[in-house]
Amino acid sequence: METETKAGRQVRHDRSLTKTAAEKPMFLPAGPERIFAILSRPEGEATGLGVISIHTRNNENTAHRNRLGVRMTRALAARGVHGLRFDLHGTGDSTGILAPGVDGQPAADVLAAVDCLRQHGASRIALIGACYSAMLALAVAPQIPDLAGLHLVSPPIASLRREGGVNTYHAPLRQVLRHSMSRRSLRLLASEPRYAAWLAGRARERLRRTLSARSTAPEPASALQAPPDRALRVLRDLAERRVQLRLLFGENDPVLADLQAARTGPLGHWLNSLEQTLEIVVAPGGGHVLFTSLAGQDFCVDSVLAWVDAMLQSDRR
Amino acid sequence: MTYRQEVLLARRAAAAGIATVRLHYRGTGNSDDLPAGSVTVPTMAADARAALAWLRETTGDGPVGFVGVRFGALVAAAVAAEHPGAPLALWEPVVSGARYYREMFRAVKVASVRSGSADPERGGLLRELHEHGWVEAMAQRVDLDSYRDAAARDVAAELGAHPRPILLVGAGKELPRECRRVRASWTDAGHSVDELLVPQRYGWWFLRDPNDWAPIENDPETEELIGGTADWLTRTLGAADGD
Repeated sequence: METETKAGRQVRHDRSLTKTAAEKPMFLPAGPERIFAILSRPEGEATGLGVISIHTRNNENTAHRNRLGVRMTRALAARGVHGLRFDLHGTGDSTGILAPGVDGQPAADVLAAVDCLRQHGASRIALIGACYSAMLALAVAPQIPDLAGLHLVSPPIASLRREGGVNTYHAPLRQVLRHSMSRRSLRLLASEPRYAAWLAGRARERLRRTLSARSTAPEPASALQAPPDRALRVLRDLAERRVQLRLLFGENDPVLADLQAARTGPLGHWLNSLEQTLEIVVAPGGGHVLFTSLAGQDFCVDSVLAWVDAMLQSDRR
Repeated sequence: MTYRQEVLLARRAAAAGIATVRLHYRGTGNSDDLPAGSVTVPTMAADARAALAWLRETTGDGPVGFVGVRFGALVAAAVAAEHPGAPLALWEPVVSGARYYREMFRAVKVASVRSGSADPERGGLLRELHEHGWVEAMAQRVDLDSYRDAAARDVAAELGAHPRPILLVGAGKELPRECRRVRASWTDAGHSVDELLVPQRYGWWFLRDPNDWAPIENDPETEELIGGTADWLTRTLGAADGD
């Protein structure tokens, strides 16, 4: 495998080429909706394990960011694992309009994917989710008796009160001003009217958010996430069931910081009791969900494959 | 970023009686891989031709139209050029490949300033691309061969001179300057050019705020985009059928 060090990290940039030949696209019934899914059939002898990749919902589809879903499910198929990627209702090629929250239709979508894998011969199921879909995977997990593993990327289990999403890091104002006042940026502002319009739009939006955060009640219930005590209770139950649990965060992920901070707060006893059973992996230098760089994407794929290998090894034992 | 809008357009057109096929180019989406650097406008156009051949085989011969979104405008124009008179709808078209990459590299720079990771010592991405043969931009790999192929192309040259109905779709109060320029040259050359402007929150690249989780189906601008494009296709393909 050819790799190159880029910004201090190894970036893989010559992978083996994969094909669609062993893949089956289909529409799965999920209540009133039809869910688009693609099954990557196991190459060689099937292990009986089926893994479902759930995309992060917003603006995504089966292939996921930079084909991450494709890479993962095809790599799993090469290991003898059924890999299934699908579009939540209201996204990608599925029908419907996206419903908020993790219960109801979103849960039905995942359960339809689980049924599909079972019909194709998988006897044990594992789920991969990131951010919102990590919380969705957690919410659905208790309804899957043959669940073997959960791989959760940046699950915001202790970030219920984070406002405006988790991509909230902004450079200090002084630094932004220094860069935006550079000769090059000023030239851009003068020569590209849409650049100026875009910047003005972002500034307006930021102001609107700041003002609305000041004027609203401090604890709006987030539609995105299940309550943290519910998520932690599920994690504890899954650990008792010996489900292979892996949580992956970027080193600079605000969600990881929230989790670490929560250890000293009211959730501390929950988190500390889980410490022995959860595998927490931190990607050096990575941000939220890791998909925003090639190195982060590679790290994520490697983490998923290591997690699957551990499950297969434990089966053999 | 416009995947869902494209799905909605295809379904709206199908409901209006227009058989529609969408595709993932090889090397992208759910299609077969291609070796790094070998995804070019010619390979993408070959894939679009294969999709069209399949559509013809499935639904029979009839008038055909093309829709190109952003970079896909270069591909749609190249394939439409082989079908004189075929209607062509372009959403925020990339008018010039070189300009597309310039904007992309600028956006990377802006993002690095915003995140505080900008390195003032680092040279431009273009220089890095030429030195290393590839560069990372927006969490994707940009290869020198793909860049060279696209940078030498512009949508007007790809489309050629056969007069046809063209719809230019833009976000905001007016089409971007480079689109206005190409519109003028197409009108002068005898194409029948319509314009559809849809309101868009940020009016650049059809990008939505990544923290905006509201379903796009509920946005009034989505209806204007989908309904406006589908109506135009129905009208122009109907006229072509009548001919």
